[in-house]
Amino acid sequence: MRKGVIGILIFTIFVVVVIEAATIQYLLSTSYSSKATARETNIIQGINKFELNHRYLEQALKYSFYQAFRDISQDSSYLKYSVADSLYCIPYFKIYDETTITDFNSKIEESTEQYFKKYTDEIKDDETIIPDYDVAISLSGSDIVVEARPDGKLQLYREGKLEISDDKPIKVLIDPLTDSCP
Amino acid sequence: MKGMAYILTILMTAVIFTVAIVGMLLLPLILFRIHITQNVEIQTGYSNAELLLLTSLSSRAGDSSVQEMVANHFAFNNPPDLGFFEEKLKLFLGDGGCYQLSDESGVLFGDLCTSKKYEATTKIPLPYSTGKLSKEIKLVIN
Repeated sequence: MRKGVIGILIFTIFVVVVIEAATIQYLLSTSYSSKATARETNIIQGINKFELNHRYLEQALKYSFYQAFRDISQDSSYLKYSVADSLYCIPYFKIYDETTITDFNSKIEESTEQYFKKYTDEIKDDETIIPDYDVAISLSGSDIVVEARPDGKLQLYREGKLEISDDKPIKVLIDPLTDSCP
Repeated sequence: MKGMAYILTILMTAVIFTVAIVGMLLLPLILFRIHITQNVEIQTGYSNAELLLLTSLSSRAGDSSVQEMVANHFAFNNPPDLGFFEEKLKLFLGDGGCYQLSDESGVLFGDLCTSKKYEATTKIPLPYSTGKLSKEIKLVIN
């Protein structure tokens, strides 16, 4: 009788131990895969944010140039800005009679740089490091090439988790929009 | 007879004990599994929303990038049509999908997703002359 009871108890303990071992094994493997998923998600979200910042900077550089161009042209022309016609209906590109402007290129570069700095400040946060940029403007055929060269790395930094960086210049081609006037 | 009852009692106790132990072990496992599944689903859902926002903003419609179109939508009185952006979302989400693009001041297009939803936000630059350098837009998908 006693042997029977002991047998049942041993069997029960055995069953419990087997289930517990299987459970622990499963929990460990699930925990590993969930950690891997979390890492993957962290990387994907990091890359997404980094790329979105890139898109922002490219467009911001364009807008900075437009604004700089507008300012310089406005300051240098004897025509009132508001009455000057737009080229291709683009509000940024005004047509002036007077086009002789001293240090036109360096003035535009300097002004673009200042505006671009304001734009970059908008996306700075705890994990986004944005370097200062030097702006250079050149011509490629009839297009204007605006290039912002960083003095360091554009970075996305999550301590102990992720670091993405890029020190390539941002280059945009300023081509007149072809949309017809509304 | 008494011996039989004793054995039955022992057996019953053993069975109840085993079931209780197994239940105690399995319950946390099941809860953990549900938790993990939900977590993964939420994370991938947010990643999808971000990816969709990224691919849409990176696309070009004619001479303009979609990002530029959205910015112009805010900047000018005669905003460009954002149908191209909507088409991209429809293509990804399929017939049953729900989407909405908005900023702090209102909805640009799409319907409010009522059930489970995932959102992604980003800043887009605006033309300087608009008086505001950037605007945060939010994409909600389901």
